[in-house]
Amino acid sequence: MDEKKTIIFAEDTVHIAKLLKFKLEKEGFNLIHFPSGVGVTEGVLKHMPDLVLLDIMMPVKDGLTVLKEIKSHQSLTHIPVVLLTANSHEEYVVKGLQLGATDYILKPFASTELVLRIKNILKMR
Amino acid sequence: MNIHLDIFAFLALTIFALLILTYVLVIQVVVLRLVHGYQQKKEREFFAVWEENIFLFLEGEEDPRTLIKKIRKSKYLFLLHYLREFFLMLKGDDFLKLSALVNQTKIQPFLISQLKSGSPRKINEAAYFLGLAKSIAARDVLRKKLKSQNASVFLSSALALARLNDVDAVFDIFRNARRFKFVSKDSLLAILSEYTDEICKPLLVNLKREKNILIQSISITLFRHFKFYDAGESVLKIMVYSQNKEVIVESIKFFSSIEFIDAATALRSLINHPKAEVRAEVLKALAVLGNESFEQRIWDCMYDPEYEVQYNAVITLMKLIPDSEEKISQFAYGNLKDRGAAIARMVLSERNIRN
Repeated sequence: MDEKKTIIFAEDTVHIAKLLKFKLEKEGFNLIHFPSGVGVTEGVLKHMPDLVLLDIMMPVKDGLTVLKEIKSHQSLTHIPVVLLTANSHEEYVVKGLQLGATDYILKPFASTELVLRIKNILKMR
Repeated sequence: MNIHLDIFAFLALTIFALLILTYVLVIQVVVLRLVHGYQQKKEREFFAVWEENIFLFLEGEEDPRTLIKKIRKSKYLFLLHYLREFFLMLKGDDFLKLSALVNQTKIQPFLISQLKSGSPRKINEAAYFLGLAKSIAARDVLRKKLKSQNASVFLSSALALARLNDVDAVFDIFRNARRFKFVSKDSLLAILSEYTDEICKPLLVNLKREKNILIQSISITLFRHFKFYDAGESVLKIMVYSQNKEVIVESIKFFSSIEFIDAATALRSLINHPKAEVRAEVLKALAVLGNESFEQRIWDCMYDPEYEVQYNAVITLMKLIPDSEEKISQFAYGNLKDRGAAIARMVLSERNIRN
């Protein structure tokens, strides 16, 4: 039997975070949610998830800073990181991809597409 | 003695009145906080009960009317507050289902009746949600609300119409915006950028005869926002004859964004424009639209009296002219007292830091 894949995701928009948790758990993933960028890197080090989903614009610590931290740990570089950002902040996507993000999803997004993208990335690993 | 007593009585009365006023204000703040806290508690309770039902609705094929039937009318606004984030962040099937929750149920007539009410607060709230849900049925009422004497009602109705992509309403928005002194160009742009690119064609037709500088400038900014290449020639004609700095700057930015090479010749004559902001913008655009024939004109700008122009001259030379870095370096370190040279040194060191 397949082991449940773990996804860590950081998203400060409460209801959207709950919807994504609901959707992804229904798809059989184990979800760990952070309401900001604080503690995400430590969470990744502790849980060694199969994928990290990061909102770029978050209070206190933004997604790009977290991405940089994750990619600076030799033991975490293999973990795919997907960025989530508003349409109007596309310039951050380029920065994110330069920092080593695997993919990005622009808001507004279709939740089905998000789930499929995550599945595809995990399938390719 | 009596005079002293009078002064004392006056001071005592004043202090007493101030104390009463402070007391009333404190009570008011406390009451408002309690009401707000109570509302929030009620909203949280509503979310806790309905959240999963909404998620399941978004997942499945349930008729939106079935879900809304279960929710009391007095709780419609709680539901809408809850859905607000979803409306803003979801698209595709998710969005269609969300808008069906409003447009195919009793929520729509409820919001339209709020829109027809006399309360600006209720109107603004209803317009906001009808716009988010793209409720076409509300279009005519929203158009009437553009004529409101209340600026917030005008703004919320205009925003809703833009979200409905009601292209025919755009000139009504312009016309009515002039009635309010504090409706700025930026607030109009924020509203009009909610339209899709369908807004560009009527704006272009209108631009050819439009004399109002604000509308010219907003139209050109929107063409840039939507990268509407078809407006290139018309905007070029306007820029050539315009005396207005804002229109010229917006036009140059537009040409640059769509890489409209035909504008390069016109830019040559603007390089000596009396306004520094225009000269700086021309230089930025030349980095995209110019060619080597501009090199000497750009070098001349290194001696411009304005910092912004000199800075952009260095940047443009580096982008436009291959191998210009060595020449810039000679200029930068050969004229240590010259301000243009100091700016060139700064740009070169910035570049080294980035590399």
